[in-house]
Amino acid sequence: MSQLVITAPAHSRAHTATAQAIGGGWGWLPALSAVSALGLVIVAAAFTAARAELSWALPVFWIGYLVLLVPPVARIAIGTASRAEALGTLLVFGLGMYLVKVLYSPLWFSMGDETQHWRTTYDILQSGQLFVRNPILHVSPFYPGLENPTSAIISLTGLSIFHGGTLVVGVARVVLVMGLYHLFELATRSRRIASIATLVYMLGPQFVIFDAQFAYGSLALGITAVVLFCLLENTATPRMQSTHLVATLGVACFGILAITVTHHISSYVLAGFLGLWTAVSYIRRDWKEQRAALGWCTLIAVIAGVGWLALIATITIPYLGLPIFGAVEKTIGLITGNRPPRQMFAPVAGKVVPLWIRLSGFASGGFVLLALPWGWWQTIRKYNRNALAMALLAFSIAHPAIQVIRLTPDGLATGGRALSYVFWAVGFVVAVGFAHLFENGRWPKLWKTVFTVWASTIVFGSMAALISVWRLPGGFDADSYTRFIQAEGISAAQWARAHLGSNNIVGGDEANVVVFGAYGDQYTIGPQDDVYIQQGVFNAPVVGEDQLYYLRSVRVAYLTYDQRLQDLQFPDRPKPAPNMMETVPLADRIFDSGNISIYDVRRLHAAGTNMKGPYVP
Amino acid sequence: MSPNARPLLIVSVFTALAVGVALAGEALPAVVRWVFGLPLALVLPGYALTLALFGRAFVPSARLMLSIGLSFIVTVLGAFVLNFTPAGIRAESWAVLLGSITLVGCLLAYIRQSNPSPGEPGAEVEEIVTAPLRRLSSSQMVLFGVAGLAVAVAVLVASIGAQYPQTELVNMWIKRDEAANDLGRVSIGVDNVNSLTVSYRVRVQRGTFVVREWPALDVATGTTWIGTVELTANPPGAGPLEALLYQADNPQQVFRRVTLSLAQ
Repeated sequence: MSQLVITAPAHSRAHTATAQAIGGGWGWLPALSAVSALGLVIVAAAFTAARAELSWALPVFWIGYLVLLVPPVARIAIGTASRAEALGTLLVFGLGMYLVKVLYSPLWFSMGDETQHWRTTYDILQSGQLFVRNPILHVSPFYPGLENPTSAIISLTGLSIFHGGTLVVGVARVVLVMGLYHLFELATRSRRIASIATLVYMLGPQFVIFDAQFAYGSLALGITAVVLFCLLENTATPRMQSTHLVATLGVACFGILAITVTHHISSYVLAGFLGLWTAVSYIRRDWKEQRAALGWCTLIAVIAGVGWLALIATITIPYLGLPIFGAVEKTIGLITGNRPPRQMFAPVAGKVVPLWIRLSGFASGGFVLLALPWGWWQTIRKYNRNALAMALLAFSIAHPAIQVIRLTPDGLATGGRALSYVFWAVGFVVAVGFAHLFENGRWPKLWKTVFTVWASTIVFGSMAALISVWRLPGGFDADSYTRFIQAEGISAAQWARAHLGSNNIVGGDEANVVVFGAYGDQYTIGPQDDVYIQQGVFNAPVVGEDQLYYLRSVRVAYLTYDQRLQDLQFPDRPKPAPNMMETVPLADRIFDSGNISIYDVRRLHAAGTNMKGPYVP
Repeated sequence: MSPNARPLLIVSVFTALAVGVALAGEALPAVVRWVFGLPLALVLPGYALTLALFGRAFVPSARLMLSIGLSFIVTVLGAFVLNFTPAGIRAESWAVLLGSITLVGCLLAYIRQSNPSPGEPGAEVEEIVTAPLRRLSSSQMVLFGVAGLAVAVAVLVASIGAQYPQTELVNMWIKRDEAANDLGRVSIGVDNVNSLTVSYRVRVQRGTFVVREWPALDVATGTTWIGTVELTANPPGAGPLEALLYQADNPQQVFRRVTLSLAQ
């Protein structure tokens, strides 16, 4: 492929692009959709079997997962698809992955982050206002971008928060996949590179679960794709087409503002990437015309991000600062040899992770690292006159660095979040490398087979690398935050909302305060408020004056007590662990669901004490 | 009317209807609200703005992406506008905001189409690009149908599986009727969320004194039983009021237990 400079008028490019679609039908897409959907049925059967604790659930899940995802990978590798077929295939892959997550918990949000955003959405719907204090994620109301379209859908249709939220994240994923495809197609004029790059992005470990959550990052990614597409269109448009220039720049700017109020990290990464793209545009003289738009957008992104942080969402500073500094500190410790690396695939609850899962997990990360140098080389060779391509190349260098950060205990989460963005660049660079082999290599069929195996291994490994309870649903699991949110806790929380009223200060174990804070509409207190009832009260040998004083000091009205969680606190003690709340004469056990009890401790407090939220220490 | 204006008219009429449906709210069946509400929130504002801003400069798939993306941008930022209005963020205010933006967008798009800029693709390009949609053969339609059906089956299978977890969910609770005088009336409830066991016994006691007993209760799956106990100023027995739930097939084992102190 020859070197490309994007100079063609936008309209003529549109003509070219549409002309490419002439004669392009649906190809293999209908058959491929049917096969992938069959894979989903198999996955659903495996999930149902897993809930019934049947042993065949795991192998059947893997079969369904591969039936779902390998055909689209193979079809993209073969190439020659029309735009409709290529885009359809990518959507089958992206939405198929999303549906795996939906099938995992098809009735309610079961992840901690999701319940936190559930609460913000609920508050907006109840109050008709933004910025209502969220007891389980204080930062969430200051970034209501996800909750705004969700509340619009719910208000207009009467859907539940779960269904509205699931729909918003699914549609955001459609925008992300289509946006990435068009961005890469516009940047390279190559449908093949656009297809492979979008597919490789979706192979990333973050795409399976993390970016499929009802959480602010999931929507921000989709809008980011729209912003970058419009900005690239702007930089490629001749200056005389002023209407088109203003329109593309306007959408990009409003998109940047929308991202700023949707997700903190996305807005900072976008500002950083725009800054990088702007800086790259100074390398060559013939990129001069791009600089103004890129510079302005960078400035807007920086001002909006910093301004929102400094004036409105100041709470974000400690929220993000602590884990980031922790990850940096531990990474430095790792590099200097002062800290050991995190043990990957550590045994869970005494169960050793099987060798084949460990190997495929390592392979998924290693295969990406292997493909990068070749992609870098080909990108430099072919796209050294393309500013966006050079910026993506520079950005992709962060990927190996993130792998080092992920070796630290704190860096797993921080690095995982960064992958959501860096994998855009990784996808592009790797796609350029593979496309060269497909088109100019001596054995194109062999390379297409290699790509299919490479991509399938990464898909497999990304899922294998997840902790086992994220692969298969099931009952309460002590080692997973995901499995804390179960029907029993939700039922208890809903009882509290119906019988105790809203906004009571509720404390207790760290899992149920999340559930009660969302589904129970209670003002739950916990570590985010510097309140530690588990450690301060439940873990004490007896509930004495110190513990009662602590409960009074935090003005708690009700306590949740989960026998399963208490049994976990001290695994060496006989089961069930003694429930010390039974020894507190002023505590009434007003609810019992078997594992979860609710204690009314209002009589601990002096008459007239305010036990309603918000809680202020 | 030009072929390009027809979609705008259809969108405008649909938007007006969708606003009406949103204002009617719960008076209408849920399906009607979904059919009109979802496009109004997810597609129509962005579609109108895309046509107003870009005309048909992009291929349809890019226009679809921009339509949804712009709709997201509108709803994300629009809530901030609504937040500072007296109406707040409600169904009515959403309907008016999104409906207005869509209709204004359609009007601007119509004006733009009436004065196309040189080189802007017209209907014939649209025709070429949308041709594959119409070229869908009957066998391909069947395969897409099978795919849709399979996805529906998958969701159904997973939902049924999730609805009936292995854990038996039966809640017991006790609650004082705050409005009653003295110690007043106490309500005791048993929620059978999903248990197949439906026969229970409830005993309410204070110390060794049995205040009241329901020896045979049938609480069907998905229903709640509520019993009340009227308390006098000095009820017999000592300590807190205790309500115990027994399953009929395991009458000796306390299944659930709740307590309520009688001191005010």
